[in-house]
Amino acid sequence: MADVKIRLPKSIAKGQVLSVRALVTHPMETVERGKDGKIIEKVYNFIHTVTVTYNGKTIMSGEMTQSLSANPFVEFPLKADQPGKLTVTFEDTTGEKHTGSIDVSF
Amino acid sequence: MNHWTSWRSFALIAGVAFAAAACSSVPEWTSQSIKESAAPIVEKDGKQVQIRYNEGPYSPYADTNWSKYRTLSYKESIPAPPVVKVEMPKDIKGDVAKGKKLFESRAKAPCTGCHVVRDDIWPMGDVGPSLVKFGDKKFKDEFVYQMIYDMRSINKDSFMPPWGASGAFTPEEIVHLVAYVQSQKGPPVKRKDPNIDPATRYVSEGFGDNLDPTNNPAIAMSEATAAKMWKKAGPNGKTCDSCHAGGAAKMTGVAAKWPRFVKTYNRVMAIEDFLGPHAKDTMGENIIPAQGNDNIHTTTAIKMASTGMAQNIDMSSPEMKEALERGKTSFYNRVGQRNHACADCHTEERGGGKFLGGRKLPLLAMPMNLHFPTYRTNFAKIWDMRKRFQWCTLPLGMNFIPGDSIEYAELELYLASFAQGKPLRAPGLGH
Repeated sequence: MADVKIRLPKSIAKGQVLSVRALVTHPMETVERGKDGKIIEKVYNFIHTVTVTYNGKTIMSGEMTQSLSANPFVEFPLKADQPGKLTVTFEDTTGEKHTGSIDVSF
Repeated sequence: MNHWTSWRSFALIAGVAFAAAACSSVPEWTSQSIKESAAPIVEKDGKQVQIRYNEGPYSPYADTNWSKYRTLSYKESIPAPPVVKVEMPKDIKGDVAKGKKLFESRAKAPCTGCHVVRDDIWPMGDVGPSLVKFGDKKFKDEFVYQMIYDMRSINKDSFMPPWGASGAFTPEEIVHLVAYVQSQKGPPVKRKDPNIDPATRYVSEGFGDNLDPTNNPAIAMSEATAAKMWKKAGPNGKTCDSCHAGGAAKMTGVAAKWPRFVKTYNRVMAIEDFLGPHAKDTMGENIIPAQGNDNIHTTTAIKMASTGMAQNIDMSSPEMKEALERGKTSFYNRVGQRNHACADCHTEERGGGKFLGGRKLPLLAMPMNLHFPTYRTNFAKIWDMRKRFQWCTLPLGMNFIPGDSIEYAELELYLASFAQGKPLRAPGLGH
């Protein structure tokens, strides 16, 4: 599923520190309450982990939590010291992994 | 008490005759949209209610039925509300505090949507005149009462809703409102926060580049849905891909020509209106009904294939010319409890470009169609123009007409007539 979009600058110089932005389309369910005001107990579907790999090597992983807006994005710096594949993976509480990749080239 | 309702029954026969004569050339259309958009009236707990979207801003209106007020339907038989002149009740004493509460009540109007007052209230709009020195004008209470009851009796061109004549406020409530607006006097008001006053308010710069897929989630959402729908087979085994190989992205330039007159269905259609009936005729079933998410997302994907291309609708046929005229008439048609027309909020001569509460009203000339369907950050959903129309008119006190109705297609055509030659830029992005 093409549900992750990644943005890099239009042109990249080798060794440049650039800003990467990745957006995932995801409902990011928030807590629901019943008519009695009590929290409805269930497995809420939200993303808990973001992992970034660069040519297969994990270069960053981070936590996300509930109550972040639907369709969230992350932005992070990357030192582009080699050409190759940058992959961002968002894992949610249902175990599904939402993955997108982009080629870094100079 | 309700002059309006009694007048209705009298004028009903005349109204029907007029509507039939005026609309003889308008084709018939039975809605093929999702149920929440077709919005049938049903009985619920002994009350007549209209089924509408159970989401976002529509939910608070779930049990409200506005069926006694005019709609944008070409078959509307309720006549324009007559101008009413009344006497101010003498046995009620106006109460400033009660009036202030009513003036700000969101359930009622709120008056602050269009008028600035001395109190720091958020949000105040400036569609109507500022009332900060209204009391200094020394109008008689009876005159102010009549202004609120039905302003059209004083200025026939006024587009302020006839609050008393429509039954939105009771006579007693209007007496309290009179007391409150008469209390608005004194030296110029100094605001601590410049954003309180629409004249000095910060104007939002928006939400950034709507065509950046990492900024506008609607792009990935639409691509994913369109890819899924393109492969979905109807009962006869055919898919979109059977005839339109390559997916939505291959439909370059198609969206720039819509809305247009479709001979097969003998009516003007936007892409949203066309997809359902077209699927029914080619695949054996309407698998993509209008205003459903599948429809809106797929339409968005088709429009994205024409991003940056100039809108180029062929307006030359007699059918298109007639449709455009009817669309324009709808734009100036007064509807709902508020007795408002689209033009009241979206033309420069009236409220266009001013603040309605906290939101700056877009102008017809901007144009208003090219960014639709658009992502709504507050609901995390994509809305097509029809859901927007339905949302525009609901708080005005108008029941839904179906999203895929001819009325809306022709109104959309009128809005689109201001966008010829300008680049398409869907999906939009906004709050």
